Amino acid sequence: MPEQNLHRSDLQKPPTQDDRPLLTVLGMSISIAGRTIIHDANFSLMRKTSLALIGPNGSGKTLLLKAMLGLQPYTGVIGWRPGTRLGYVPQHLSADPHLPLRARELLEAKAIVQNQPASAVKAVATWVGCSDILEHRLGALSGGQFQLVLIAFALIGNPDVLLVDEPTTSLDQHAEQQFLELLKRAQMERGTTVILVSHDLTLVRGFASHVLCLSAGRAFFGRAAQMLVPDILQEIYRRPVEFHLHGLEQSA
Amino acid sequence: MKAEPSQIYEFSAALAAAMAAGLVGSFALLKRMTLAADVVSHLALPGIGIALVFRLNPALGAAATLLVGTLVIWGLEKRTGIATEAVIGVVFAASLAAGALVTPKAELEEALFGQLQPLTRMDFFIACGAACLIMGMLLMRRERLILVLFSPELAAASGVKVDRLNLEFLLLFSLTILVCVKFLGALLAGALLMIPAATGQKLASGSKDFLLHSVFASVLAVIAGLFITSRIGAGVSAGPVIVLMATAIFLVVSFFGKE
Repeated sequence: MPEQNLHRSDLQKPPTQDDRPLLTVLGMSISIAGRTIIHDANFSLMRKTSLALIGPNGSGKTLLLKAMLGLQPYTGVIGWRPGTRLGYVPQHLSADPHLPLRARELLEAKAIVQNQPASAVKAVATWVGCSDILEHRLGALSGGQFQLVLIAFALIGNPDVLLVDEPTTSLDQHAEQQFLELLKRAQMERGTTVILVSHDLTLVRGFASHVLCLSAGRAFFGRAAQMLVPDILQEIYRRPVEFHLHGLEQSA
Repeated sequence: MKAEPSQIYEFSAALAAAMAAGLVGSFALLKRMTLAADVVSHLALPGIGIALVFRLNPALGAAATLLVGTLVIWGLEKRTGIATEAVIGVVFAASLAAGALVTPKAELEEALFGQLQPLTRMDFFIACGAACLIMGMLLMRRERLILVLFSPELAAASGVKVDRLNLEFLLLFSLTILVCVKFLGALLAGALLMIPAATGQKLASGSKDFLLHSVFASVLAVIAGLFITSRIGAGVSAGPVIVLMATAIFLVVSFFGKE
């Protein structure tokens, strides 16, 4: 019968590119020196979403981000949809003041390593808004300028996903605002999925669509609106939350 | 006075070695390998000594011990939690002691300060070929090395195989030392990698200037060193004079160069 056949074939039809998760994490664990930091994490992420990794110090947020990048050994599955390109903005990176390297040379080095045309550097620098500092030595840049160069670096190669570690800890308020606007623009204009580690729940609430909370080896995943409520946070942390809760209506 | 063919060979090969040393030294300085440069050059000494005892080509002996030393240093670099500096200190002293013990007395000074035998045409071709290989391989890896120097983690996240690149660099580094040992001796070969690079760093604001300035400082030191040695006459090894010239250039640049 045609209708039934149609129904069946629809069921068997492979999911379209956008139906499949961009990232699938199954039974993933990370141990350091015999101590389990993350145990049996399971979650998946669709394209164009934004995920915040939160949790107390030492809960493994940065480790998980590095595992997603292939820089940290783990057990279980971290599967990116085939062909997914990743860009990384690390935490606490600073340039040696004596390093004889201009911002342009760093960006060009990445473009060459990733087989991008020379024009990619100019295009990304213009998009990020750091064209005027390209000829400066990296060690001579301010914290905010350096962070812009790092974003430009991550965006060379046109990544589908930006993985950002504690983006605002060393920035003043203006630079922090500028940085967050760039991340939002990347999502809107380039369709970039953003995964960021942050301590700042105000930032997370204003930015992320989903939250993964790591605490005492466990991973809790959900929509930001469901996760970032005092009752859930207190249950996960098992103690009053000591995050920056300014801006949230209630504190836990 | 007309120059002997062996002098022309020596001069040209020394210039090729100087260019390679300036280039490799620039990256080594940024990788904070100043200590390692001395150790690697000292590792050549036991090899030279053993080769002389068995009447083999000293370069072969030096190449063998350099290769082993390079692999050991690479292995140490990969591990964490080991006091690398302590191990390097031990290897430094042990290789000098072993080299001094096995090298025949008559040849010890030359092994330490350079110029074991006059350069043959074959030596000239080997030195120039090695220098071209070193420079070509290094320039092909320049961008990847820049990323690793800036941040090994970011380099790895950008698709650079960091461990493999470090090994390739160390092998090129040791090959440069091997080429320089002939002219400068095992004690001073590392100096030609480090001092001109330190000069280049004082003058440069970008990576391209840095490499060019280092190579220029290295070539200038070798030309000045060989010229002065030829004026002083027999009995003076070129190695110490070249290293003193490199030091003089560094001091001039430090006092009069820009901040």
